[in-house]
Amino acid sequence: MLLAAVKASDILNVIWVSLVAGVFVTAAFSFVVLGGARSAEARRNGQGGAALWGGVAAVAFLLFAGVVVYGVHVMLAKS
Amino acid sequence: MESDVVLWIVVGTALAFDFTNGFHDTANAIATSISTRAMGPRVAVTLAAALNFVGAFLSLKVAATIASGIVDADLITPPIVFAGLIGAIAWNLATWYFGLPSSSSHALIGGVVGAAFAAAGSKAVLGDGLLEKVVIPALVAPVLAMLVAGVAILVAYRIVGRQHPSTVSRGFRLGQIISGSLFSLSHGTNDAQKTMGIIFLALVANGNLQASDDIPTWVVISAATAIALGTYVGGWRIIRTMGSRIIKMDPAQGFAAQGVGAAVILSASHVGFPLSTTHVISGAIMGAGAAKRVSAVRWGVAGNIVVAWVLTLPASAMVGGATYGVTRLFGTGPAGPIVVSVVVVALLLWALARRAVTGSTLTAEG
Repeated sequence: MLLAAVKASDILNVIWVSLVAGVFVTAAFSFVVLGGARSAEARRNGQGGAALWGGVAAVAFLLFAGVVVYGVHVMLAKS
Repeated sequence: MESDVVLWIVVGTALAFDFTNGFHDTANAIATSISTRAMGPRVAVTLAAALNFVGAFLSLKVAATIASGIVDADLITPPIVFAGLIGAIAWNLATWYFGLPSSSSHALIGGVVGAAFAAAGSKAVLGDGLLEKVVIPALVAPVLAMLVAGVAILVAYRIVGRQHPSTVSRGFRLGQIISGSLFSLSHGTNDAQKTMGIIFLALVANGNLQASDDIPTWVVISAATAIALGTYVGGWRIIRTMGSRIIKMDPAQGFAAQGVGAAVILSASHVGFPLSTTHVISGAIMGAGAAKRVSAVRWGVAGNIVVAWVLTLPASAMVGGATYGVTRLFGTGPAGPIVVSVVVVALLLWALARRAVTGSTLTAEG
């Protein structure tokens, strides 16, 4: 009866979009943290790979920032 | 002349509701950031207030027509809106007093539903709309946010698991500043619009504006200012509940809760199924805690919050309906709203004076 009031497809859409977006944004920022930490550690110890991990952090940050910008776009596009 | 008096009382009450809305919902954006020390309390509320103010200017579509599709719009009059606002303000203050996060939107809808019911009977309330726009979202929001935050924090721990805890904490604290800012901006855009919509409709109903007119600048500025001031004052009791009484969170959990909260709210909004910010962030905090350890969540506190959510609609409806009944005792003119306003202001001043005497004022530091 509850589901009859709202289309079940709407709820399913909300669930999967939220799941993907929520996990993606958390994972993206986690890679920023991981890349930053590994890059700093490699530099500190004079090991190779600092640039590579720095690159991982930068790419992950760009993805994260992209989601934030898209979020602001969704906010502004609401009718 | 008489209708002008009622109009300005409705405008003042709408701005008072807007203030309590900001005050009540500050916790949604900043409780986790304060709890994990991503930001100091004053910096957090200042940033949140500024972004709520800016957010109010970002979108000026009067989409948030009050209780639209839930009560019969043809039956809504300024005294009903006034009584509904009093119901919502009363519920916001009561839940703040007990430190319980609850939805300001649902309180407003409840207040208006109660007042409309008292004015015109059951035909004024659209049951399907209530189910679709309030009941189902209230069931979906916390469960969904809890689930997504639970998965997200496990993914985050998996990714950063072997790094030094202090480095990880520092990183996630930075992320919390971004996710908290997005939350505040979104709140200003969403919730200040509700007040603008109420004032705009009152101006149209009173004949001061046409429905096709733009929202006057003074309405935008006053609504933005009221929600920003409310946010700056901060509902510290609720901030404590959300920041440290549900779970003791680490910065990764704080970020996951905020990030998932923002993602769920914006995703739901994107697919046309808006959810309560309060329900989402509360569910996300519980999910981020329970995924680490189920016993990490203080389920007693969580249960009290759920009880507050269940009571929001009926309690604010009862106050809204009773307020409408009292205003009608004084006829259909402005006397009723004036008397109720004076009584409410006197009660608030008495409560403030009492708090000052007992020295129980809660502050950011207290």
